Amino acid sequence: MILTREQQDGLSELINIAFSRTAASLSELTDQRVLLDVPEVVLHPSHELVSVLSGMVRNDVAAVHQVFNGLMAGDALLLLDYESAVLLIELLTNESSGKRLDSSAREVLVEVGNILLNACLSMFGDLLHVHLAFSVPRLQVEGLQVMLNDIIAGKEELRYALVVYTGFSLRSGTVNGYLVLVLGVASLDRLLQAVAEA
Amino acid sequence: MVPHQQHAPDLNQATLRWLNELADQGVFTTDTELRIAVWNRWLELHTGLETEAVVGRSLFDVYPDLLARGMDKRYQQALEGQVSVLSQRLHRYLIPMPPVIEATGLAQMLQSVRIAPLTVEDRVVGTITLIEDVTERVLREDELKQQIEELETLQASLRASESAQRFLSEASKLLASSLDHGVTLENVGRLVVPELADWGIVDLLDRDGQLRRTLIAHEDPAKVALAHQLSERYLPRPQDPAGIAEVLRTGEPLLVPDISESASGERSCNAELLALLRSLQLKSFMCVPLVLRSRMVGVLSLVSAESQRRFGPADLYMAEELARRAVVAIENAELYRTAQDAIREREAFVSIASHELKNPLAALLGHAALMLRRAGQAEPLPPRALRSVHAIMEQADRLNTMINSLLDVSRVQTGQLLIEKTPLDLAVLVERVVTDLKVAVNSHTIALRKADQPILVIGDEVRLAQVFTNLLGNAVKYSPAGGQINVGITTDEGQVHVSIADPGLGIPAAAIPNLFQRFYRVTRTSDKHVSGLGIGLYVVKEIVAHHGGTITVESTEGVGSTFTVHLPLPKAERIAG
Repeated sequence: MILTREQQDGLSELINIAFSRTAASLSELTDQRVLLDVPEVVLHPSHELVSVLSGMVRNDVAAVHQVFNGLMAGDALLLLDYESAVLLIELLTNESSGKRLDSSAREVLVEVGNILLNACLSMFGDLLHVHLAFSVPRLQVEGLQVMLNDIIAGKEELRYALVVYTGFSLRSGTVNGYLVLVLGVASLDRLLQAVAEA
Repeated sequence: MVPHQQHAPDLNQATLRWLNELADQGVFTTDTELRIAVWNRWLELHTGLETEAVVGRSLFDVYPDLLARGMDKRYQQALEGQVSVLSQRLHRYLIPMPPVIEATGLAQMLQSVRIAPLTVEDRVVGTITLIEDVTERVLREDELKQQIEELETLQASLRASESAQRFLSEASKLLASSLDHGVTLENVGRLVVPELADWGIVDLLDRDGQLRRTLIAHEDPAKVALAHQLSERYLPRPQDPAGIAEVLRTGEPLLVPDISESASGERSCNAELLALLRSLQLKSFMCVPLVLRSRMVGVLSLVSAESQRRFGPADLYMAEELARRAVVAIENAELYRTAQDAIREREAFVSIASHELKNPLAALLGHAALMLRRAGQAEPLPPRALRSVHAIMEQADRLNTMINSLLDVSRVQTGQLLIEKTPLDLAVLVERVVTDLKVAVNSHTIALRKADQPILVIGDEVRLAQVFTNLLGNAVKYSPAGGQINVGITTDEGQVHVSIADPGLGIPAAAIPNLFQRFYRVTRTSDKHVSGLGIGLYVVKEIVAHHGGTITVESTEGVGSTFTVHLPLPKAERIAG
């Protein structure tokens, strides 16, 4: 499946709206002006995801993973490489974390991921007029391949991944990350249809 | 204490009981209007608010602070089905609780919070909030983090000290590698710049107690030139109130981490100098005393400029350690230079003294010769007086020979030994020397194995005669009377070899390597004393070397010695021979 120009623009616009809301809530949370870059949206078959993403994030990744269910179901991920994750925490909390993600830093990361993923998913929920149920977000820190395999493996249905490239800019620095939505064909069809009608 | 039933219609009794009795977390639920429905025992205990006092009331009514902190949004999202995670780092707490007394004093509980929709058959009927006390965990982690940081600091300082030790050991090696004063100072500069500083300056005290700027090191030669000009105009004086002079007076190092923050660097500067210094972007400097056996010999100054490096105590330590090593090297180089100067002075003295001695000696010899001539003619001398005049002539001759030798030594030393080379027949020259000596020596037999053809060499006739006379003289001097001295002359492979063999005392094997050094005299175990200055063989070797030749010696103690002079034959002779 390849996104048409219109579908891509439509998705980008939606996610853009969602992110501007998100930026506002992040700003409020941190008392800092948080800007989110205009996101870029690309669609990949899920089995290509590892090779696509490994070109963009190196080594260990910190991922906030949230499962959503309902008429649209799938996995939502906020992916940062480890260094970016550490930097993001430092920017948000104004504290040096000493190059490590301790449990309270991990919690902050989960909260940020939670806010971003909620913003995105609820936008889709609103659009589809469906109720989505969310799991509690979890942080996974490990190799990219291991983590993605957990999500992709064992699923019979052909699945697609919407990769949203984004960056957070705070007063004192910029952190780049990726938002990844892994969806089944049915869910993706439903989403694209809704985007077309919106 | 039992949760209010009508506000929690969707939680069964067992769940409520579990929440109340067993949960070690705070749990409360609300209905869709965000009115509190369940308030568990943990919350009662920690907030001091009884269930009866809160159930049925709006959450924001009980805690207006939550509204101010924007929590209404989170609860709204929960009613829309979303889960929220609140991290303690960003929020510290959700529900304020009275501080508890911790080991570290009064502490506010740190909370990790989850807010989720309460759903029944896909229908959101309210919200549920879980509050976990993470204070202890966070404190433990902070403690751990602090320990890790301390460890890392320790490791870093270990690494730094290792690399410092490496640097200092390299420095010691480099500084010990030369005795040349200039090279040693250059090495100090190379060690300082750019590893430790942008500028390295050495000021040494001279004998008059004045400072001499002996080194200015910087990577840019243009800047070094500028600094030299500056130094000529603004050389520090020992009486200056601050800076280098102060270090010299007190022996205490000076560290100015930031020049712009310190007035001490400017105290002794005038406006023009200050402007110049500013144009060099000087940032930080340190001056350490160069102390040798508790005597102040100078100051090593390190300056940071364009690197904008700020010197700290660790840098000062390095500078002091380097100074300690540098001062020894500088002192050694100074001593070596002094010794070299002394040798040059001595050589000049020997040269002058020999010349000065020759004048009265010439007069002495002249007058003695005159007396002898007169004695042979008009004014005969009594026999005893005649013997005395002969003795005067002999001793004056010996003295003359010695002075000539000394003059030769000084000529060799000063590079003034002149060799006037002309083609000559070495066979004839050797024969003449032998014949001359046979006349003078009655105590020994001298046997010459003549060459059967002329042997042409290019050389200085007078100097080569001096060589063979000297060697033959030694052979006579160092062998018992009645012995036979054999002189041979042979050619092969482009060389001529003149050997002089005596049946004498021989030379101890240990002495042979030093034989041709000046002023070297063989120490003998026998009682026989032979006079001499120990310069004859030195001059012989130098003359032979000036002819492109070598001299070798073979000797067995008690059997005798053979000295052989090897001289190159000119190419034409080689072809003919």
